[in-house]
Amino acid sequence: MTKRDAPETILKPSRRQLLAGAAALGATALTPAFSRRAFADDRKVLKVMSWEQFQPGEKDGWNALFDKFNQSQDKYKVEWTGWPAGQYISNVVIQAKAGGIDADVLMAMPDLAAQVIRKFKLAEPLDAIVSELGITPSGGHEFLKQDGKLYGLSAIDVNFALVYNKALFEKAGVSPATSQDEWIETTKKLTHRPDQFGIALTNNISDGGEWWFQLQNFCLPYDGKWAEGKTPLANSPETVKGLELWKSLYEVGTPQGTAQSAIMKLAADGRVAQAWGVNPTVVVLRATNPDIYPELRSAAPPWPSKRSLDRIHPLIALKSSKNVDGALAFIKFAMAPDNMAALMEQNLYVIPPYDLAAKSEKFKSFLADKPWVTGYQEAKQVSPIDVMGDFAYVDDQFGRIVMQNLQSALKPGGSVKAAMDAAQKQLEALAKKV
Amino acid sequence: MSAVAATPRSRHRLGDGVAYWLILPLLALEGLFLAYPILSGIASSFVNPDSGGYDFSNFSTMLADPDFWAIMIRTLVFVLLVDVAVLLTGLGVALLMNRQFRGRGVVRGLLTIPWAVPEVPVAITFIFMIDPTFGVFNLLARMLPGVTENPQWTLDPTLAMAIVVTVTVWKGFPFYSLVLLAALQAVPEELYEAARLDGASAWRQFRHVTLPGIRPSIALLAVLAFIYSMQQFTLIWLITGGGPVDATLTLAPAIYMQAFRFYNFEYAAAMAVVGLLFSVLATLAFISVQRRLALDER
Repeated sequence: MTKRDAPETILKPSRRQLLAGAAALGATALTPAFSRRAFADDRKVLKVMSWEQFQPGEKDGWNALFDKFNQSQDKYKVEWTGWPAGQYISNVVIQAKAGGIDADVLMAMPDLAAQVIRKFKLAEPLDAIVSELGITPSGGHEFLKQDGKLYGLSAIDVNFALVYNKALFEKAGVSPATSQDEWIETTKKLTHRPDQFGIALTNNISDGGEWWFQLQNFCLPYDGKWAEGKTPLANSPETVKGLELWKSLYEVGTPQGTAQSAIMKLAADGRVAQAWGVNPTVVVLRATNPDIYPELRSAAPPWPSKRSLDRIHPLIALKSSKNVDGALAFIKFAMAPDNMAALMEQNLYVIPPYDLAAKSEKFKSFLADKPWVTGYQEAKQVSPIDVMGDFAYVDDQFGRIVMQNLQSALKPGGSVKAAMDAAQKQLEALAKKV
Repeated sequence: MSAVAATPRSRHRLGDGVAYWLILPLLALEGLFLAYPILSGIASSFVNPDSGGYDFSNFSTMLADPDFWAIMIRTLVFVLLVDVAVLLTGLGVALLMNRQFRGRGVVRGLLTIPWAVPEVPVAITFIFMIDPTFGVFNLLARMLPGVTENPQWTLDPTLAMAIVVTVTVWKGFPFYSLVLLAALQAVPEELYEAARLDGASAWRQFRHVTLPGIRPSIALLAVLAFIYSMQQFTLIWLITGGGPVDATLTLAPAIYMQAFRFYNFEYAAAMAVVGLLFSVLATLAFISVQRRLALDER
């Protein structure tokens, strides 16, 4: 070997050396990826059963929360499972009846939550999360308690108020109503059929779910209830007066017989002055027509008590889960003030599960920036379980009976009292099956 | 000789065995996906929802329920209206399509559109067409004498039934037209020629040549239309939701409502058994009609 050879040997590695070096480099470069994948594969998958992954305007906020949780975890990762809202309850109930729900965390509508907790007894207590986070769940959580334990924490809380289009109100020279009679008068002034409608109220039995969702509130204007225990109160004077108010609004300002989807389109096009709806109505209208969003405002329910239904959709850790600890970890993560504030801000949720504004400056300033939330905040919360008595478990069937009979009162000269007398008889028969 | 004679017989036996083995996967699939769900549905119709045991409680509740009988009567009215209307429309269109005219192929193709479009978009389209404020049906209705206001299509029980029947017929008639068209083309031309030579009018040709020629097809289609309308769910549920005041609540949506809205699965299964019985009876009636027709032809 000459002196000249030596550097040549160093500068020109043999083919074997080159391959070995490349392999080493490749191994070095790939090691983190392999270890990352191994890390990901090692994690247990938590299935969150929900309808939110199908909700335009809301799924992005939830996906961001999922990503944040997955990045923060080395033990668990969350994935979606479930169905769109329309099929959700029946599918979950079918699974529960068949013996168990195929998920670790369940998001539920209020009536479904009540069934999962009380009837199927599939929920795990969440009191530990409450004490660890030092939070006090809102008053609406009462129906999620049993034997002093809390079985659900609100993921989405929607309540009813009057959403209105400020520009159309100003044009008509009216302000949001504060009493029942004023509501009818205002609606009349805001209606110029077929170009403009004073109020959007779902009124088609083919949109039965949405119709009952709204109509259920109309026992409240005169402080009535739909039922007390197993006794239906559909023809009580308070409930009948509430439904007569609904009928008057229907007659003076609603697109009659129009499908819910078409009503929402009319509202997004600025052809509906007000709607009786939950706060996500604003999110849907914003998604359909961003131009209308700055005009939207809300007002408290136009009756003295200002009581309206508050629908808490809780997260529930399922007892049947093989990863109960993981399910609890996810719920705790979601409830942490910063995470909850970020979710609420992105999804325009305005009713927090606890006094979030006191714990998060970010949320406080978010609310201050939303002129349309005031009506929702002024409304007094009533749980559907409080007005439905023991019929909360047969909510759909109850609603169907009320709506079917109310339809006969919508014909010219139709009587709400007669319709509700007929409904009462059917509901009394239903009571025997409850 | 006996050995030679035995060979084809054993081959024949082998052939039978192979045939059974070959259809076994199909039978297994049919058993798994058809027979098992049906039998399981029938079994659950006998489950007492309170005790969990097997008895006739769902059937006795159902038979004592006036709502059930109202549903059955309504279902029969709906089925009858759809059957008659879809067969008449199908036959009328088939007779038109059987005539020679320019662009007949294109028209025939276009005719299949309603049948090809899925039921959900059909329902959505009709929901907008019957909207009492914006729907195009209002214009048509107001052309009628005495109609001065837009009809409340889904609030009036008679109009609501008329709408669901119309949409079901509109959706289904192309299939019936095509089958009847095929049947019409199978009627020998010589029969018409003979009838014309005898001086038969167009009506008498239709009455005595066409109708007997397509009678087996009409009988089959009547049964199919019966089953088709008996099972109709999507259009009714999406357009009227069974309303107003249950005026369009037929058996299929009622079963769905009991099972998936009210979670009375066992009761819904009992109702489904009744639906199944009706369909089986319709099929048996068809077989008997077919036999009679075959005997008549002999």
